[in-house]
Amino acid sequence: MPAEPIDPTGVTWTRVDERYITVKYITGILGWVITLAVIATPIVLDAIGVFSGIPLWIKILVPGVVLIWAAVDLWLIPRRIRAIGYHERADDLLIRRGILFQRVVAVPYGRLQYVDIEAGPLMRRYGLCTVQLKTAAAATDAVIPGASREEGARLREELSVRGQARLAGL
Amino acid sequence: MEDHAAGNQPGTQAGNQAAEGRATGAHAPDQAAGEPKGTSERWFDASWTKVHPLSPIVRGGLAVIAIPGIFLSYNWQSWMDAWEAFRSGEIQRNLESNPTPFLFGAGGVLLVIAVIFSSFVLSWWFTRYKITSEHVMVKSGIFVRQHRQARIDRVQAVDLRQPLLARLTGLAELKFEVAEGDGTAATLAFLKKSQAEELRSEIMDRASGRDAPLTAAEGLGATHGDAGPGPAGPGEAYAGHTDPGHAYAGHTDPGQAYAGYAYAGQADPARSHDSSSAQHPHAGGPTPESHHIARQDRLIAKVPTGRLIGSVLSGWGTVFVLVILITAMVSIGIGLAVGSDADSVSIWAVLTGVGLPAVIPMGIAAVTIYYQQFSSGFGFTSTATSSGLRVRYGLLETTNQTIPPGRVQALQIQQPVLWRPFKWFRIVVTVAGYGIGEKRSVLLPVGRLEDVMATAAEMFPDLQVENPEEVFTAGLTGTGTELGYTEVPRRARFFDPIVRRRRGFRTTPTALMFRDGRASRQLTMVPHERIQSLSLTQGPLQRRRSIADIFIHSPAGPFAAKLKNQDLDAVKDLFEYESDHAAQARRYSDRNQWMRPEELREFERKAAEALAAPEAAAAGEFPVRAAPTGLPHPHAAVHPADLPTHQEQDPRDR
Repeated sequence: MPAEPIDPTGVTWTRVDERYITVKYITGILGWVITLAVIATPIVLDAIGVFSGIPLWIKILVPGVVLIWAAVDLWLIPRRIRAIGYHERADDLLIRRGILFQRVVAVPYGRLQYVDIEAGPLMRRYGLCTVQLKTAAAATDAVIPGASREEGARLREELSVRGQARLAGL
Repeated sequence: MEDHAAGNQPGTQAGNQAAEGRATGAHAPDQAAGEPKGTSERWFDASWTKVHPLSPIVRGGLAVIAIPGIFLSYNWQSWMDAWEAFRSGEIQRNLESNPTPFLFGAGGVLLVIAVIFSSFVLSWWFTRYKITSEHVMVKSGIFVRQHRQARIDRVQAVDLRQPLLARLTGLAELKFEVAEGDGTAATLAFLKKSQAEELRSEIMDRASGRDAPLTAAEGLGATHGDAGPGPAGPGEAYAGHTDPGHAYAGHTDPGQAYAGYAYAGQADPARSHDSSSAQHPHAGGPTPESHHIARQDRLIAKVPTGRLIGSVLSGWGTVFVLVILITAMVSIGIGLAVGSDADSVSIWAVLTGVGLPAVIPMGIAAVTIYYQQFSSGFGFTSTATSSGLRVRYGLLETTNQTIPPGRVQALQIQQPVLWRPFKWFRIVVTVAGYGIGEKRSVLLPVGRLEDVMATAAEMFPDLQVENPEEVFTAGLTGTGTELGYTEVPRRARFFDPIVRRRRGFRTTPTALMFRDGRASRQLTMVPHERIQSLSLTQGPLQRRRSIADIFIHSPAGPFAAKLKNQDLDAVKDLFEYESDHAAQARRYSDRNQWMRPEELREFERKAAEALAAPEAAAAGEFPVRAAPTGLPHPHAAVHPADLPTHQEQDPRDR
């Protein structure tokens, strides 16, 4: 992926694991199926005659919009995940995300309070985990989703060591 | 005490005594807060101190008075009847003829009183605190037991609070804010006021590392007492301080000298150099006056009641009320104009029917807000003390906060729109542990420019520019690109048509300054080394104009340091600069106990290294990556104060 204008110069991003795309497809499809089912319920009830009165245009427009939205969302998943990147520098870790609304965060190692590693059942099945960096500021919001488990463990060790070396109070 | 308890699970008395004896020894700090109940060890031993016996009543606060009051007044008619019956002798006659119901009644009342009283006594008995060399520990609770402890070297600030009842009884509550976790770490409620003050200064001294971290109870003071030669002179400077303070006087000499150093933001540099050379113990006894300078309390700012009332009346509450009133007037006007044929009765009906029910609660809310602002700013006095800025305020309930300068994460100076004609400002700070609550974060509720400058000078590192006052004033009120501030580029004026020339930032060797707001103004200042992390964001429209937002992350506080729509290259440079420089500055200043001699010595050593190697000190400057290559840096002109003339200055050397 070419460097975006917002990216710091001379940074080559480490991308997250490609398997994360599959995970995101699964959760995304599940989520949209549930959403569609919820939206379809009144329409189906209307069709079988439990109640009536939903105008036809609503019956077409609402599911149509949701379907298009779902398609775009699912279509964007790979690009969105390939837009996630991180890079370890001498004093801080950079994390970027976003295609349209982009964000780059720099977390100095000395400011790390702890590193959180999290993996749900699906993520575990694909050997992935989510690495979360916590500082004293809640706004930091530094998350690397979908790192492979080995990479997650390595990151945690690495960050802990670097954090220790530059350990600080507030 | 868990470590001791764990150590002597089988033992009983002897074990506990051993525990007391060991209290000074290596103390495992990271025990879990909750102690398992039901094990054989005792919940506390004699080394734990009880709080003041009146505490439960004071903590109960108004409820203790109000509930019986409500109970009595609610059925006052029957009480009056009873009184009448008593006067006429009816009760006595009934008592003689049939005493049983009276006995039951009296027994019931006595029982209720006994239960309430014993619950007070029990809650008092089970609330104990203990101060060790490293922790403040508080245990409380009868059935559900709670053990809270706060690491003294992580104490961010100490509040001494006096609710109304405590004021009447001469008691006070101590609150310790700690960086870890949310909310107050430990509360000691209640102690005698003098005792609380003593304890506060002791804890603050320990938190700053000025005293040797030891407790009075251990009796180890003697061993340190003979370490230093001249205890008499400095001892006097410890007025109102505890005995160990005297005993350690010799030992604390370097710390004393450093008090001069760290608070010498406005003092002449010669003194601070004196003190830094005096850091080596036995380098020479400090002169008495240096102690007095270090210890002397200086008044920083006071808020006269008149100005406070004015500021409350012209604050945001009034803006809000005005907006509501104008909206109401306009809508009524429109209503009158449109419905002119309707008879006036219905208009009045609408006004009284809709207007009043809406206006009354709003009026109550407005009065409440006004009162809160007034009471929390009443009698506001801030004093510079050796352990930080001491802030005192309160109408009925007084609060006495102590905030060490090193614990200020970020500082914001605000000017609501209606304050502009009076040239008033407010200062709020982010201190880890205070959270987003506005009240305790206020460092100055309302003040003139000189008050603001005095407070900021006390609580914030020196800006280290040639013309700090001009830079500061420009940050408060200025616009445009003078004095090194940036602005939203012209190409992005569509995004910020009004605040464009005001919304900008500037760096100094010590701090990052964000200014914002056109009608009501803000200036946010963050010391480089306090930045937790930072982020850049850019939306699709911003990308087209090559601008971006920058966000400085601080612990939870009353404001967020965010600046929108800045020139992309400028913020990218800032991003790089902060990444580099903040790391350097942190290395110099990362110390929990900001006055410990060894930490300062370490800092001095690093500072000397940095001086020896100018390229290392380049971290103190704005991005110089353009300079070595000889390319004209696009923003070099924007940051004149960061030109290499400052290179030999260390970020923390003031």
